Amino acid sequence: MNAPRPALVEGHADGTPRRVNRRAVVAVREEWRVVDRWWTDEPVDRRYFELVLETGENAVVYRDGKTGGWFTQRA
Amino acid sequence: MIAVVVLPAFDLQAALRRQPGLELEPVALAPRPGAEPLVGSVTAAAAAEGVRPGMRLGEALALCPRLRLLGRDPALVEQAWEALLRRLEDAGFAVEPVEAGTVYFDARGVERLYGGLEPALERALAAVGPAWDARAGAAGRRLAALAAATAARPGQALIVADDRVRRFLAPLPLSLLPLERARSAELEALGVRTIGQLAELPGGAVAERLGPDGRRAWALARGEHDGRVAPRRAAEPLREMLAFPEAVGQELTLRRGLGVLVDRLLARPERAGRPPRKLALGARLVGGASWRRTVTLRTPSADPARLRAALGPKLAELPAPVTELRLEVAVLAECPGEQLELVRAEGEGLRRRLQDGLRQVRAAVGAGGVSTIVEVAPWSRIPEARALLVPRDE
Repeated sequence: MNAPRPALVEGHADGTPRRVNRRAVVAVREEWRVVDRWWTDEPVDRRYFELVLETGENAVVYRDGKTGGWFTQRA
Repeated sequence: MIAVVVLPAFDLQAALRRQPGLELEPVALAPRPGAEPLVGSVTAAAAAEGVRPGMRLGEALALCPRLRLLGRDPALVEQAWEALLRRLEDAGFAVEPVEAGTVYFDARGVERLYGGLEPALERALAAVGPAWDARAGAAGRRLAALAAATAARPGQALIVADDRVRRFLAPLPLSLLPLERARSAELEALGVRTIGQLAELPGGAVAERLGPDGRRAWALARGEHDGRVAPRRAAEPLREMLAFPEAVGQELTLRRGLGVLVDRLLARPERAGRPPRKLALGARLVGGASWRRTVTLRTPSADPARLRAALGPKLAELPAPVTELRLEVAVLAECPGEQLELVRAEGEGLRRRLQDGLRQVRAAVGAGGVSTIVEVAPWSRIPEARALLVPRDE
């Protein structure tokens, strides 16, 4: 349920997203980190961004701290 | 314990019954009309020459020039499969058919009936009969049960104990997992060829590379829970058939024939006033091939005009003149009819309509087609951990 989906994200040098799935980011509305389950075999370390894209749609993406991969998800 | 009976290449075996004597020859099912030219199931003789199911027709013929192609017969396959399911149900197994040739059942109830798991599986194999090369498997998980049945010899039942599941799955090929062909090929190109090798990989890396399907396959490879058995409700044997003295291709005549079949079907006393929810229209085509389409009605109806209107357009899809037209009720509605409402439905009425809608979806897509969202940890900071999607069977 609401599983993360791999996303194609180009980032700025400071790690904030510049383009998400080939659409430009016009604003970063919010940013937060989730570090959890560090005591298990599958720790969670994510840096979330709530974005406004050039199409006007809102998107939530995160960068996995362990693998460096980007994902989209409804937060 | 979850048990499964597997009948390999069932569609081909059913088609071979119509043309006996070809079992030992290199034979493959012809590609689907209008689809990619890929061969279907193949006989052992064809497999020995290197022909594999899903191979391009040109490649298959280049490998085995004496390969014979057998036309697909979906109506015959469905008929034979339904007969087998009924035999299993008559023996007390509440079956969940997945596709023609693979059927699951929960062995817990029947274990007591037949004095143990092994006798129960033997009874299931006996109910299917020796002619189909059936094999059975049982395990605590669906995937492990399927793997056990695939590894078993014809007529054999293989049981995998819970503590041996991961060890048993480890050397088996990835083809057993519900993964797209392209995904399996991607994994194989990376040197991951067995379920054990996939299970050893970190889950996050698999999810990133292959997406949610890959993550699910990874969880299955690690022996995680993969769902219960949802037995089907035994279908009502309501079927009507019209044989034409010579092949008919004219739509007007076919529509008249359909009208006769609808009237006959609605007149059957077994219906007990219940309207059909899902119907199957089939035909035997000139040359011996068969054709079949199913229609799920938005609202169950016993109005002949509405049934004709729903089924009629399907006749235009017939690829050739027909010698026989069949109409079958696949699912009947549960109540004989609904009183017209004087006041707007609220509470119970709305709930009943929702249930009715869900039953319609289930009839169209099968068991497991309707799920409900269950909140398990709404406070979690990890979005995917907040709720689960649970199949809703009733």
